[in-house]
Amino acid sequence: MDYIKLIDLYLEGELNQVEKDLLFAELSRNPELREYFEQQMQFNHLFQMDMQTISPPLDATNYIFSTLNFRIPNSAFPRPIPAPLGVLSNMKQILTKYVPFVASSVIGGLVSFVLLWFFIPSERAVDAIQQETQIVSQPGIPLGSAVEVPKIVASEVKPNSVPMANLDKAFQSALQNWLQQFNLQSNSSTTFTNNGTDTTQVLKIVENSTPSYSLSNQPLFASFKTLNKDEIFIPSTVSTRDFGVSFQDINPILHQLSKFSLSFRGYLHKSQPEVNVNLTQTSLLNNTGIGIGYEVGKNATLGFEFGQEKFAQKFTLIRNDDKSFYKQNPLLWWYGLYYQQAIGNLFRYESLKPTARIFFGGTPVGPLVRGMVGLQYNPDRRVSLFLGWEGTLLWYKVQNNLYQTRKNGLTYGVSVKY
Amino acid sequence: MESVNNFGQMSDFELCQALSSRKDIAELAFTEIYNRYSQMLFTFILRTIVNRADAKDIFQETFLKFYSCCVNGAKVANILPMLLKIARNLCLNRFRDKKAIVPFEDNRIMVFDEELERNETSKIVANALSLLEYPTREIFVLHHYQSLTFSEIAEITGESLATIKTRYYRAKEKLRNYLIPFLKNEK
Repeated sequence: MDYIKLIDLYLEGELNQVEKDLLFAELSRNPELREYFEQQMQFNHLFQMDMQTISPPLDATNYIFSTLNFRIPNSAFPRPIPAPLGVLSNMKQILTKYVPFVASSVIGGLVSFVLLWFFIPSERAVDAIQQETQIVSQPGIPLGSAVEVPKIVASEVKPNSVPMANLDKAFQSALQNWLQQFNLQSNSSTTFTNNGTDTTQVLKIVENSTPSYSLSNQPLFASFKTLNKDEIFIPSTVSTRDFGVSFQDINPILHQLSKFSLSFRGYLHKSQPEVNVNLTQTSLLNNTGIGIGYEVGKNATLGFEFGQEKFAQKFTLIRNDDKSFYKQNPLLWWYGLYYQQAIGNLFRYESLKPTARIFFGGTPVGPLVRGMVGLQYNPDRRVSLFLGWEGTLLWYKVQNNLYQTRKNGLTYGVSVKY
Repeated sequence: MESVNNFGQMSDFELCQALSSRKDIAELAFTEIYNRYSQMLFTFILRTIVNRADAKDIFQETFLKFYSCCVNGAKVANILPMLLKIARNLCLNRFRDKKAIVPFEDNRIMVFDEELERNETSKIVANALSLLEYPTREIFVLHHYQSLTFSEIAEITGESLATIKTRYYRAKEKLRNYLIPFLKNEK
C-alpha cells in the first residue's frame, strides 16, 4: 500500500472511509510516515497563512473604481486582512534595508583601526631604535645619529666664536651626507653660501617653530631663501618623524612589508540595464571590495581585489521557438588585478593627489573591466583615503549572444599599510 | 452598507446582470463582486506572475475587462473562473512580451519585491514559488490558493487532467524539498 499517495489523496479530500481508517492505523504505527504527514499539514498551512497576508493594493482599487466612474469604497468596505503595519514594522524595514551598509562601514572602520593600532610603531619604539643606532662623529661635523640631521643647537652664536667659513663648510658637508642617506638632492647650497671673505661674520640662527619637511623633491630648506644670506632657519626639534623617516626605512624586510597595503572599497553605482529584482543569496560583501596592493613605484600600486556586487542582466532566450525577454539581478563574486597610479606634486597640499585605477578581472558569468578616476588623500604615510568616479563593464554570453552590463557611480574607500 | 449587504445575497449571475442596470445599482453590484473576489484574484496573479508591479497592472486590467464583458451582455454564471481566465491570458501575454523572470544558469534569483512582502511567511512562499516554471506554478496556485479541483484547472488551462496532476505533484515535491527547513522551524 502506498501510504504517501494516500496522504496526498487525504489532503485532497479524495479518500473514502475505509482508506482513511487504513491510513490512520498506519500513522499510529509508523513514526516516519507520521512525520511526513505532519510536514504535509504544515505545508498546506504555510500557504493558507500566506494567502491571509495578501490583499489588493489600495491604489489599484482606487484606479479601478475611478476608471469606472464609481465611488471608491470607503473604510466601511470590508477589506481582506491587512499585513501588519505600523512604526515597528516600518523600523524593521528601515533596519533591514540599511543595517548591512552601516555594519559593513563599522566593521571596515574597526578593521582599519585594529591594523593601525597594532602596526603603527609608537614613539617609544622609534626612540628605542634610535638609541641603538651607532652615533658617528667626524671631524668638523657636529655629532648626530645616523638617521638624524646634523645637530645644530638653536641658539645665537656669539661674535668671533665660530669662524663662518668653517661652520658653513661643516654644515654643507653634514647636510650632503644626510641627504645622500635618503637619496635626496640638495638644491639649497646657494642658500648657505656666505660672502666667503668675512670669517668673523655673525651667523644668526633663528629657531623655526613650525617645521614641515617631507621626502618629496621639494626643497628641504626652502624657507631659507626668504632670509638674508647671513641667516638660516633650522627646526627647533629635529627628529626622524619630522622628515617622514621611520624605522621601516632602516630595516629592509620591514621596508618591503611597508609596500603592501590592504584596502576596503565601497561603491554606489547606477546600472544600465536597470533591474529591480531582489535576491535570495546571502551577501557577505555586497557592493564592497577588498584589495591587497603592492607599491611598485612612488605613486603606483599593483594589486589583487575581490568582492561581491549585483549585476543587472537583460537578455533574450529562445526555447522551443518561443522568444522571451528575461531580466535578473544576480549577486556575483568578482576578482581581478588592478593598477593604480597617483600623480604627486600637482596640488599645493602634497597629501592630496589625483589618482586613476584600471581593473581587469572576471565573474562567474564573464569578464569584468573597471576604470576609476578620483582623488587620494594621505593623512599619514600608512593611510590613504580615496573618492572617485568609477565605470564598470561586464560581458556575459547567453545562447551565443554577447550582452553587457554597464555601471557607473561613486566609489570610496580606505587603504592601510604597515 | 445595507444595500451592499442586500447585494451580498445575490448569485454571481444576478450580480453580472445588475452591472448592466442603472449606475447606482451597477456600482453596488460591482462593489460586491470586487469584495467577493478581489483578494482571491490578486493572490492568484501575484503568486503566478510574482512581480508585484506587474501583478497590480494585470489585476486592474482584469477587473476592467470583466466589467466591459458584462456590460456588453456576456452571461456569466461563475465569476471567479471568468476572472481567472482573463487574468491568466493577461499573465501569459505579459510573460511572452517582456516580463518573464526565470533563473539564469546557476544564479538563483529572488523575484518578489522585498519591501512589499512584509510577512516572513510570504517571503518564504514567494521565494519557493519562484523556483517553479510558469505553467507548474499556475497549476499549484490555482489548486492551493483558489481551491480549484484538478478538473476545474484543466478546464481553465485547457490541459488534460493527467498533465495537470503530474505537474501539480511534481511542483509539490519540489516545493516540499525546498520548504522542509522552514517547516521544521515552524514546529
